[in-house]
Amino acid sequence: MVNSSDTRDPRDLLPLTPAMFHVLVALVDEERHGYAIIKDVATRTSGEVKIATGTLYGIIKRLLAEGLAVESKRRPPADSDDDRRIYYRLTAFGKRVVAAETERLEAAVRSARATRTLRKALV
Amino acid sequence: MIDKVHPLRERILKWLLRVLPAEFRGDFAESIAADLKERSAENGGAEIWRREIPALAGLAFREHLNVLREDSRYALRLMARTPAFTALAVTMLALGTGANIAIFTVIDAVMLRSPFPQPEELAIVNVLDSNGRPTPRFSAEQYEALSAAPRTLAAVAALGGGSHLLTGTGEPRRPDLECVTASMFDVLGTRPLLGRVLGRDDDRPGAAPTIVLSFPFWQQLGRPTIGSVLRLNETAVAVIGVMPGDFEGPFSRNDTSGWLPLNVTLSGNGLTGCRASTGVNVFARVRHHLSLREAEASLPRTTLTSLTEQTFYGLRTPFLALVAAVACVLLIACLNVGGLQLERAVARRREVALRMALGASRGRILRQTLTEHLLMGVIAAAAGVIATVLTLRAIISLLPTNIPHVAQIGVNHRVLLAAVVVAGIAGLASSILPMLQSREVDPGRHLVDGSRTTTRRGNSTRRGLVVAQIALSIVVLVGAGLMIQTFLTLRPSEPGFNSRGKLVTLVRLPGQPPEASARFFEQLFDRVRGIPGVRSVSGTSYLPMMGVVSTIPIAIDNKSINAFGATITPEYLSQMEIRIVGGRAFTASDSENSTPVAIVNEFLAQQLRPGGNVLGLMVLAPGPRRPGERPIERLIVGVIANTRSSGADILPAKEFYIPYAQSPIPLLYLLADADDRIGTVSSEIGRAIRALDSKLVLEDIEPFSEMLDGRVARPRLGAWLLGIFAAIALLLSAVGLMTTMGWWVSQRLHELGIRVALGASRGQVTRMVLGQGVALVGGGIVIGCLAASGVTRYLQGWIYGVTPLDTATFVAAAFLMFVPACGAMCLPLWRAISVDPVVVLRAE
Repeated sequence: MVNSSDTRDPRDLLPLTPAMFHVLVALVDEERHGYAIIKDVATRTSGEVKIATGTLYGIIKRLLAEGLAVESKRRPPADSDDDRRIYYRLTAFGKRVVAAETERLEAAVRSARATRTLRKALV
Repeated sequence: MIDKVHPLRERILKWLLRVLPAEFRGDFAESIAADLKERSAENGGAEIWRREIPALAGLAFREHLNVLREDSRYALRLMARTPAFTALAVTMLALGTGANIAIFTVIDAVMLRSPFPQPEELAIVNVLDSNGRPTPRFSAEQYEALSAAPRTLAAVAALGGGSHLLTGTGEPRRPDLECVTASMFDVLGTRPLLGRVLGRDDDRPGAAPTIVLSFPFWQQLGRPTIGSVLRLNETAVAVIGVMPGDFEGPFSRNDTSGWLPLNVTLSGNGLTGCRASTGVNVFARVRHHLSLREAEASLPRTTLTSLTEQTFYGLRTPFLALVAAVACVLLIACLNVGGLQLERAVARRREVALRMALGASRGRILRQTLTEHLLMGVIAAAAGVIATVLTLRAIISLLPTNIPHVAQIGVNHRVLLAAVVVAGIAGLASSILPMLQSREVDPGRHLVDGSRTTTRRGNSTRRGLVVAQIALSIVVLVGAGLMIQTFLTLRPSEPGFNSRGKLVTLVRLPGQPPEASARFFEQLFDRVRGIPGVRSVSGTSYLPMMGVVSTIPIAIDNKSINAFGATITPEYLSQMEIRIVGGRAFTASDSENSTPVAIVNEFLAQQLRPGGNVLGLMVLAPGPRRPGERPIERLIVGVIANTRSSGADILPAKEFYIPYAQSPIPLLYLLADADDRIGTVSSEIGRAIRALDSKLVLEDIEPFSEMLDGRVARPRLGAWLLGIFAAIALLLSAVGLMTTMGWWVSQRLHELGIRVALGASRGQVTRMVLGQGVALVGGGIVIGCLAASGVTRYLQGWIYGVTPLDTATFVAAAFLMFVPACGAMCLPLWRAISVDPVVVLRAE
């Protein structure tokens, strides 16, 4: 449910799938349409993560259903707009979820780095 | 347009977008199309093929799965909300699916599986006789000629007869062995389970005797090792192989014990062993690239018949009839559930209208209805599979013992697959009407109007369903009636003799001269008479209705009449309670030294002296089962009533009896009238035979009535199964009629209330309701009778002693349908006549 005063605990939805995490990150700073999300994820990961269109819309459907994202009413200027496009933005709860997942991943990385062998390997 | 340059890629993408669930498509299809266009322009086609098309296909699959999951959950909630209705619908579908699954389980094992690779290449070979008629019997020379020129036949094999006695493994017994050429295993192509099959060196005259055992016989013998020795006809025979459990020889006879080389004769014990000289049956495998017809065209004076067709000769019609019957039962169940759901669909119109107003597409509503019915179909089919597993033993016990592959009957992956198909059919068929009904839902109207009234079309559809159910039930009932009549014809309750309480065993004294045989049987009968529980004993060389007869020529006044000939002991006629209509029975004084006498039945008497008296007549006849014996004059001293002679013929045969003492033979059926101690008596009889000759083969000692039952196993199967299916059809139709009439009454409560308020009497209301019900039942019966008259002719060949259009059967079926139908109308009628106009009108 989309609700600005969403009292759900974001940790209930963790861990996210890597693809879902990347999609959420792509929406953190900016409202984007589908293909823009795909491109942002590819750019952000230096082409390491390429999300297929079919995969993306499965994720978007879930984000909308879970109340992590909503369709945005704001549109770009008419000369650069394609009316078939739908723009999405994160809800406050969505932002909390992506923040919680980032923290979780950071903690996991910190814990991995703390091991002696990895510390040596990563020097 | 996604891609103008690559039409195939474009078509696939468009198609994938189209197969997405409607709601998902509505939300995202345009965005996806726009994204794909841009992606294609930026990254080229390879990316689309490699990444996008598989991802889109996966998305479509996952989304459909999600919808199915949601619909199933919703359907289960709905089903749980009305448990009584769900239980009724699932039970009805379970009866329909269960019957289908059970019959498929049998047909799958008996007819659809072949133990042979490429069974379509296998053929029975017939040779044309001098009159151009095909005969299966080949002489040794004809077989050699055929196998020497196998241009079109990949392999040819022969199968001959022979009798064998197995000793040294407990009681001596006669195993059912087939004498075959070594090439039989090449023709059939089945590999042995253990050891090896017969080779050409095993099948040369003078070769060391060898045997390949069938799996059941190998188990019966205590699983002897390969290389161990059996004693057959007093000869040591080495076990060289064991065939797998589903291999029953070329003709799929499930009682075959093993296979011996045709050309290695094991004579001993007075038995001949395998003999190729008396003629052989020939079968062959045609070359891969040839059809049977093509192969036949290149073989002179020879015809080929498919081995599979020959094996299942006479089984196809019964099984097709059973399949048709279970299909009818399933259809009745589906119509019934569909009819019940129509009523629910009317009641749920408002709910559907609400869902549509909230955005559910019509497609989604239809899909949800279909899912609900498919779920019910799956639950019903699961119940059907469980019921089949539980009743499998009973079903197998109903099957005739000579049906091939009976041991293979069981629930396997193919049966489960068939259950899935049946579940799908049941779900689909029962959902059609409710789906049509939900198409009529108009959110604008039905959200406001909450009434449960239905259209005239809905009413007539419901009535049409009941008529169809009754008509289908009549078809099954008529089929069952004809089968029951056939069964009663072949196994009459009054065959002219009494088979009850009698134990029978065949005693053979191979190689014994007549005098020794007479002495043996005299001593044997004395011993058996002394067994506690035995009331009387007799002997005969012919048992009525058992199909084993010896025909002898009776000569009188220069004409010769062929008749069934039998030698009997004096007690036989009285023990079998065969009525003497003239003269006398044989007595102890009819001995070998007295005047040769005979007894004839009424039918033969008529032939000998039409309209006259045959007592005192002299006829010239040889002794039965004494080949080469010169006929002698015999005085007819008695005439007995006609009895049923052969199992499959309702007309009596001509029967001619002579006293055993005047024509002793080394073979007699021993008949012992026993009291309740049948088990003890039969083992005592075995002991009496063994005491006189320990080397004699002990044949089965069985109650005569059970032997007669065994002869009519096929019609009994038909009578039982069709009877059960007819009862199910009747029950389902009665439920259908009851619910429809109940619905009709509930639709008209308002009208009935007004009629009663205006002074209509209970009698008038009763007439009105009954008029409706009787019209439905009558219509169904008439249509059913017409349909049955067109269908029952396909039962010809399986029914006996009754015509496919037997009036009595049709009338009985109509009556049987009418009675429960009247019962089914009682509840709705009661509701109609107890209508209180005040309550009804106030409710309105």
